[in-house]
Amino acid sequence: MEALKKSVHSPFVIILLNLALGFALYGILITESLVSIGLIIAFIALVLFLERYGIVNEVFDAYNDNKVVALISGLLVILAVPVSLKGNIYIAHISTIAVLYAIACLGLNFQMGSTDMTNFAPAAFMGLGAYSVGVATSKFGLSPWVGLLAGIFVTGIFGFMVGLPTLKTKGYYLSLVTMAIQIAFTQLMNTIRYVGGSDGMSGLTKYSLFGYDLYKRYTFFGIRFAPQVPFLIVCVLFLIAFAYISMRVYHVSYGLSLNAIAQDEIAANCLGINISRQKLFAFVIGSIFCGVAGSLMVGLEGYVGPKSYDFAKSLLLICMVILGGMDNTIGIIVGAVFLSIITEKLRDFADYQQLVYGLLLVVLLIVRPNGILPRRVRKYKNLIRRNAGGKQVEVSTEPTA
Amino acid sequence: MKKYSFIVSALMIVVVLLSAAVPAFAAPDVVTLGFLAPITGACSAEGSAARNAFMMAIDEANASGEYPYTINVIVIDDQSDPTVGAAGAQKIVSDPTVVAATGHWNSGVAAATSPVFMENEIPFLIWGAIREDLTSEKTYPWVTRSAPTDVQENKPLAKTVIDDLGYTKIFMVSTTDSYGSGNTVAFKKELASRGLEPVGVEEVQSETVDFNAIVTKIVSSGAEAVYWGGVNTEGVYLKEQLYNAKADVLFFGISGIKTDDFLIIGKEAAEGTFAVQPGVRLDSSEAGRKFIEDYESRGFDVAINAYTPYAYEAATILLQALKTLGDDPTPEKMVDAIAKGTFHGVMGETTFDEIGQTTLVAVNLNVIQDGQWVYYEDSEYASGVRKFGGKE
Amino acid sequence: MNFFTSLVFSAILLGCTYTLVAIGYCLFFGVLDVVVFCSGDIAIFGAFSIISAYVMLYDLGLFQVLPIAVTTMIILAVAALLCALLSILTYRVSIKPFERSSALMPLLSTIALGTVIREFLGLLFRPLLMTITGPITRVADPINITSGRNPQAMPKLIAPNSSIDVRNYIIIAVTFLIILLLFLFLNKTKMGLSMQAISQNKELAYMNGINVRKTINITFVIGGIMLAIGGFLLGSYQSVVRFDTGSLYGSKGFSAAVVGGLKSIWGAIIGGMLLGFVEVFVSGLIPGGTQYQNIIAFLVVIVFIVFKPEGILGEKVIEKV
Repeated sequence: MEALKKSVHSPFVIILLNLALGFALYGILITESLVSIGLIIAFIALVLFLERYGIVNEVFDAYNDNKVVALISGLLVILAVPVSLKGNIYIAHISTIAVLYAIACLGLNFQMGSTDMTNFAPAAFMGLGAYSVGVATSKFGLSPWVGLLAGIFVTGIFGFMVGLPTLKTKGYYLSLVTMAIQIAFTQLMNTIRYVGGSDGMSGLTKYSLFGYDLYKRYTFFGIRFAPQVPFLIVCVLFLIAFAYISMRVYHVSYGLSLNAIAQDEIAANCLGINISRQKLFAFVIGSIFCGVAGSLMVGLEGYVGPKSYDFAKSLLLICMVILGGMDNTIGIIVGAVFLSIITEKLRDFADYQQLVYGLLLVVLLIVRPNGILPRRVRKYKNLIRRNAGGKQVEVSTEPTA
Repeated sequence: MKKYSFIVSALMIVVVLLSAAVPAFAAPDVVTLGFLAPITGACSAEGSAARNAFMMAIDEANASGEYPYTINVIVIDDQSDPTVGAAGAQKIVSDPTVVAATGHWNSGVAAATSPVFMENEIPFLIWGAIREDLTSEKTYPWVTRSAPTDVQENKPLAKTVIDDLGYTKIFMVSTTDSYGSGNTVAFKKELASRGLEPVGVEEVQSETVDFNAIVTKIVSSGAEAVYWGGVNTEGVYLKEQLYNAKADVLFFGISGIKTDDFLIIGKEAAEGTFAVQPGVRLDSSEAGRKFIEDYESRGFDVAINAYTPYAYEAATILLQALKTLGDDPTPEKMVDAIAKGTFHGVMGETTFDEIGQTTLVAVNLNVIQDGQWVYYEDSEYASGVRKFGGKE
Repeated sequence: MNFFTSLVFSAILLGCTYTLVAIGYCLFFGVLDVVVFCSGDIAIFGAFSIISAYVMLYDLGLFQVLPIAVTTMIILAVAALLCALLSILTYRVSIKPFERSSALMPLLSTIALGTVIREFLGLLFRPLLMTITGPITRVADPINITSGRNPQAMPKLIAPNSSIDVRNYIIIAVTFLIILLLFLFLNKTKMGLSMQAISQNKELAYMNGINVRKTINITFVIGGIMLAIGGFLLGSYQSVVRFDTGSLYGSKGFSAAVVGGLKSIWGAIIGGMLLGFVEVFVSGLIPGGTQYQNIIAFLVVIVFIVFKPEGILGEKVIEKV
């Protein structure tokens, strides 16, 4: 094990690891229901096993140390996966959904993971983003990209408004407020005829870039790609951008102060952290992430309706964040991708889909309450090295609940 | 780790055991049909009955040996959720052996999935979603519908209740979902064309269970009849609570309540409920009687609903279209075979008009008498022995 | 009854059903500081157990032998027992493993468990009942058992032969009797007092020799029984139960509990009644207002929490570092 620990720091091992992860993802996507779920469970078991020997943490450190190699090979692998799907429409479709959920989960994490404020309304924010695109394209004939910008604006403002009560409430009270907002959102959308009521709006314009439709069958090198593939690549680029933003926020003082609020609000306040500003920041940026995910969802389905953004969808997003690992950007993406795939692959159980899904969740929560890749210990290596001669200082940001 | 290893292994065992329930992978030489319905969720009773009927027809066809290939079915549970339905539709179209699909009980889901089938050029037959705009010139010939629309259902209902029975003070209650709001619009139009106004209109969110406030409103509004434009899931609560409040009204509604599950509230509470059902009387034809017999002999745990025969009919249409294509059916051939063909099923003869809507528009009227649904013409209400509520 | 009084009457009845679930939330929250989100589903499970027990007793022919009061008691006892067991199971599976982790985990875990309970009822209710009592198509006298996903008729156990008004009076009376009994239990018995002690300060209670484990278990048993009665009254009030109504019912009960102040039983009553009145009056007094009744009810909840976060009867907690 010690040898393994040392070897992960070599750039070649990192490239190999990235390739292996890419193949694992491809395998999980492409295989039939049970094999796929078996692979996911095996992957989780492997992570659990390796973590016991501290290898998972070592891998993260290794990636940090060899940033350039890890990034370039990782990017190549991630972009290779959509291309490898070729003509497989269904897999391309669920991959896109998984990527979009991952973006929304990153947004939700600002509130739930970093600041420990439970938000039960991420689906409502996704819905707002989606409705913005729907209204912009079908009512005003604008480009969906304009709708996406409008969505960012609307969800930002709405996030600010939802954030306001959080200044006064916390814990269960906050979760009830957001829960009420979520249920009221779905029911309200059901009654507004302008946006199609419960029928929603269908046949909406999909995204295009430089005159090329993003949702269309293209043929390259004799391979006829699934119509979702170009859009999937764009969504992956969005995900990478948002993941970068989340990581930056996590590492700068904003992320640290959000963690401080999660641990002890009063102590954080005494340390001079502007609690209201930070909480509102977490809500606004999180809502915008969710809104963008929702706006992009329209480009995949060409449809927006209240039933797609209901309470159950919020719960799904929350489960993704918790299962992936709160406040760990990579973990959240893994959680979102796994759970989206599991729900789709469970389709073959028909009647038992929901039951199996519920059981899986109950068991996974017991087995792994901290998520697949839990919150990591913050390391201020470089900072400390300068001052204290290379000694590492570890700051735990585990909430002391 | 040791602590959890048993849970992990238990989970593995569960997964392996459940794998027994998964249908076998497609063998070569198969032709695949897609079937979409809400098998779980709030509309699951309707969806699973339809699934049973559809599978029954396919099983019969496979057993008959009349087809030179095995007919395989991909059953997709849309959970009444458009996103889930759209993903399921992608699963169907990504299978290269699929030649046609049929689906949906919820109009909202059908609106989300029909573009998927159109852009992948798979013919799509709607068996149970009744919103009018689902079939149009734009969707023809890829989307066809064997069920009547909400307008086609409300017209004969309005004719009987308003013109024949003479009810004028009608209170309308319906759900805000696609089905309910479509019915509200359609029935209001019927009232308006006769110069009438409803004495009250209420819309409820789906899954509402408490109607007592509405019942109080109905009683105080002096309505003679209550129109229910929704499904059994909520309608059964409204009828029961109307009965409990001793409201003297005629309760009549759209095909969504024409199910045996409506009878659970008991003989007295359900008595005199009046509902329209699409299609011809099943007991009027040999095929219809055989369908009821077959379905009941299989011991499914959900009873036949208003649209169950339509799912069976959809299977019949697809099967007969397949038969005309011989050994090698493709989606391109199927679309013409469906849109231009003539089919004979339990409902009678089906053809599709220039927007893909069935030309077979038949409805029958039903009433609950002594805890049973009976055809209105056969009932004691038609012969004048019993009287509906709300009228002297 | 005129229009207005019958509205008030409906509101009180609806409020009663919310109150019982809200009390369930209060009890659980009191001793453990967790929100058991599947409470609504446990209540619906209780209603389904009543139906099952009814069918079984009918099959055994006990209705001909015993007076209705006795059979009703047996049925209720069976349902209460099953709900208490389910409630203990909830504690073991979804709450106890997360004692040391964030408060969010039990919330989520109970939500997941709620899905399991719901789907279990929807899928297995009829098959299970059939294996116990043999083929049931349309046997039991006034009720028919259909597949679990369909609405189920609730047997009329309260005053079956009298009018609905009498039945409703009894429902209100039973609710208040139950609340009174619970109040007496909490204030006059040793176990009730230990519960209150744990609710105020767990460590201190432990140091004073209170068996915390045992008290928690008993709280869950009592909570389960309360929820079974809640399901029974809800079913009797609506005459029809459906397997999937538990989650909305649960979130309404939770709202009622929070509006009242999560730890206060009286608060739960006020919160439940408030919600009942808001819903019924929005639906009854505004033309076409029914579609907005839940929206307005939840808006009221939001406004209450924002302006009175500790709830109507909750204590204001002053936080110290």
